[in-house]
Amino acid sequence: MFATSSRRRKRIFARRAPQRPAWAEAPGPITTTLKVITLCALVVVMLYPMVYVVAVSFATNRGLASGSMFPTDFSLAAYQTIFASAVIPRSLFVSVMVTTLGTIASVFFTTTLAYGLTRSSDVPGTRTCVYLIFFTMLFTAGTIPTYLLVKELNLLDTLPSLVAPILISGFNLVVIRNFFMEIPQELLDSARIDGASEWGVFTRLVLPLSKAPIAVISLFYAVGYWNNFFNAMLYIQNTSNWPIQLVLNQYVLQGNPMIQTAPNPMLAPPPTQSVQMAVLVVATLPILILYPFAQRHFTKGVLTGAIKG
Amino acid sequence: MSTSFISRRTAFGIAGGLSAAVALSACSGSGGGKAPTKIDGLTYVRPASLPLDEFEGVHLSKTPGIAPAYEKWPAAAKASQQGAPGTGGPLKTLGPTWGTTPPAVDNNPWAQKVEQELNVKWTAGIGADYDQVAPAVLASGDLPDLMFIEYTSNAAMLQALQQGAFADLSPYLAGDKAKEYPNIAKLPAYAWDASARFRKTWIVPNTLSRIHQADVWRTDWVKAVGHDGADPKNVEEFTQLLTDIKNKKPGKSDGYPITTLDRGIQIAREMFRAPTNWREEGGKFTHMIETDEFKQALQWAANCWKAGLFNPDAITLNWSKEREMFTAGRAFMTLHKIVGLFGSGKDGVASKIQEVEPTAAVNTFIVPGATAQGPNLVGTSSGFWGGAAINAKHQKDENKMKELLRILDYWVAPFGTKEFLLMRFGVEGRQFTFGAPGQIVTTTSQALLDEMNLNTITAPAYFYFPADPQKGREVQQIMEKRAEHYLPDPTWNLSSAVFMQKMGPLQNIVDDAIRGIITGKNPLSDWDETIKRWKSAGGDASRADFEKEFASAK
Repeated sequence: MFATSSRRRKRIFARRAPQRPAWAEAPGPITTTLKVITLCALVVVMLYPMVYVVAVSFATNRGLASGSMFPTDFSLAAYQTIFASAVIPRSLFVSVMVTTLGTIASVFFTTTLAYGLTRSSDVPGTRTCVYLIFFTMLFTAGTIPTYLLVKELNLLDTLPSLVAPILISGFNLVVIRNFFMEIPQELLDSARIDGASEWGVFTRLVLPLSKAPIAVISLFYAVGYWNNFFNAMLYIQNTSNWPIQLVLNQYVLQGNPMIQTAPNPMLAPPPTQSVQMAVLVVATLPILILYPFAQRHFTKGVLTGAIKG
Repeated sequence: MSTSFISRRTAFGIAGGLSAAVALSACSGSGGGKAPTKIDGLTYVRPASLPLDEFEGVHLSKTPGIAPAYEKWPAAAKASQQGAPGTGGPLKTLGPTWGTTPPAVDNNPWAQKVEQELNVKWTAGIGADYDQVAPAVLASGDLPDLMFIEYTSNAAMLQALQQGAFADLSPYLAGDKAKEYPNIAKLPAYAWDASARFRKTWIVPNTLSRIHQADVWRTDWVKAVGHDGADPKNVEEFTQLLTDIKNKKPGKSDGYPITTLDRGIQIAREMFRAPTNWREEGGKFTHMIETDEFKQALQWAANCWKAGLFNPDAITLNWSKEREMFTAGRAFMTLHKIVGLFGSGKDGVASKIQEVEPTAAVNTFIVPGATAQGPNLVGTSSGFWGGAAINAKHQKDENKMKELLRILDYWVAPFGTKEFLLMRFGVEGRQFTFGAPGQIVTTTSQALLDEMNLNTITAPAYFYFPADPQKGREVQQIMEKRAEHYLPDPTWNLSSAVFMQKMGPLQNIVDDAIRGIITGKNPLSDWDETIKRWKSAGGDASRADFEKEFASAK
């Protein structure tokens, strides 16, 4: 028997070229099966909460109370409750506008600042600027000082207060600056020799070559603006200027046990779990729709900007 | 640039002294108790309290601290004010939102009607997460004319009060001066006493009943296991009931009558008559965790854990999850706002349970007392939850102060007045109509009801359930019965900035120890060590604060 198994071992090893390691070989059927099972289990574990959230958002109280793994009855009541609010259309408009204009402004200022900071050889003070930006990545002023700054700039209760405090992200700046520094200087110099202005070099050479990382930081900024409700909560008291996240947050806060135990008779009863799940779906759906279109640029751009340099 | 009432340094001082947003648990309601009357030669003079109007369908409770109940709207509702309170100028307010987001005034027909009635140009600000927004607004110094402040749980608002951010209302409301504002004068005395600080009146209080929560159980399950459904007479009978629920699993019960650790210790505290947060004897304050009663409560809860009466996940389940399970018909009991329990028909938790289980029966109950003195029930409050304060910048302008007080007088108009109808039920034909004589029928459109969520800076307390006229009196009777069994918290009208700042860490010390003892991980003898740690972590400093202020009130 020993001889048989050793012959088998020789046959197995005989298949592989002597210089190829074991892990470089094509996997066998057992290995492939195990891999598929593991990955499927992971997919189920990751997908189940998301599917559960969507299922609960369409469930009735009876379905929720049944305790089954997935509520099976269907109701649009939760979405009707949310969209019955008079402020939802306006808040959606505010969110879309702030996200769109904020992203454009952020990308513009980030790319122009990053390009300027690549010119450390002929623009004085760039290194100091870079260190200051790194400093802001590590330390923040805090809620109250930032509030006082926004107040002093007369931005309270205005939509620019949702953009200005987060206009340029230090992290995104570093990503895009690193990419700019990898562009061959000879290419840019040749353009300058041909008579291109600095703005021309930036817009006609640098930006077209940087589509991938620009797509990345655009997505980061867009997601950041879409999800940001803290600034709106702090700086805006006029509900006409509240973004959708803040409006939807009220549904979640109502279910907060701290709020519910506060002795206030005017407090509305907490919304059902289905309303809270519907809030989650409405809040994340736009980004879920947008992400696949940016994914191609995202994976390429993140690696390009982050690893090199 | 406006001049800030506080310097930048003070602003950062407030910011530095902020604790994380801490909300009171229902078990630690604050306010109430003995009103300070004379300190350092200064006398606190309570605003005069006038009786409420009586008409058909009114039930004014004879039990102190319980709000009036109404069955119907009076046939001849009249205006309580002659003429509009405002003078046509701007009015800026800031308040929290208790419900879903209201539209701003520009898009809000209800708010525009209020503007017209008040004769002001109203800018209504809403703070989405008020515990975060209010300190930032206070630090900026740019306060509105009227602002909702709650200083029993928020250290920043108490500090702002001490540093002069808001106007002292005593010169305008002390004693008979309050009668110049007839609706303000109809707010109850207990709310004024509870909301006074540093011997002064600072706000028009957002009034509550002293009792606002109740222990609630599934009466149908109680009867299904062979009990008669009445309140248990003693601890043994109650423990036996819980054991029967566990063994017989009536309905959809999961077999665990006590869902969370918080529930267990809360029920035990009530039965063994642990004081409401603090006990005062001869000017000395003892916290409830230092008392023998609390230790006995811990022992009972630990015994229940050993007997398997707790849900195995009780350590991780919280009140919110317990309520969800109760509404889903899986939990046996919970602590709930009495008003929210019945709601206005479909809003109430009782109705929601019956949607799922039509035969379900939910009702309040009173736990038995371990001694002849009876229980000390939780779910109490000082009688107010914040209120409307006036910006201190108006203090020197007597006419402006009086105008703002007239506006607040409109805001707190009692049930039966035209002002109340607008502020609490909205515009006739939009938010409500009149059905049968005396009955208000509210709209089912949530969007229209949301318009009124701008009225949060203050309100009078009342019980009226439009969909069920008799429910108001029923709720009032539940509260009156529970009011026979509670001990007021002697710190209800005292302040300790130390206690507010340390409340979170002190509670963590207590919660960790309770968890260990109830689950059997640690012996009961470890509790003395917990008390020592609690004292050194800020408990003794808090005690000293309260004793000092209490002594100066004598």
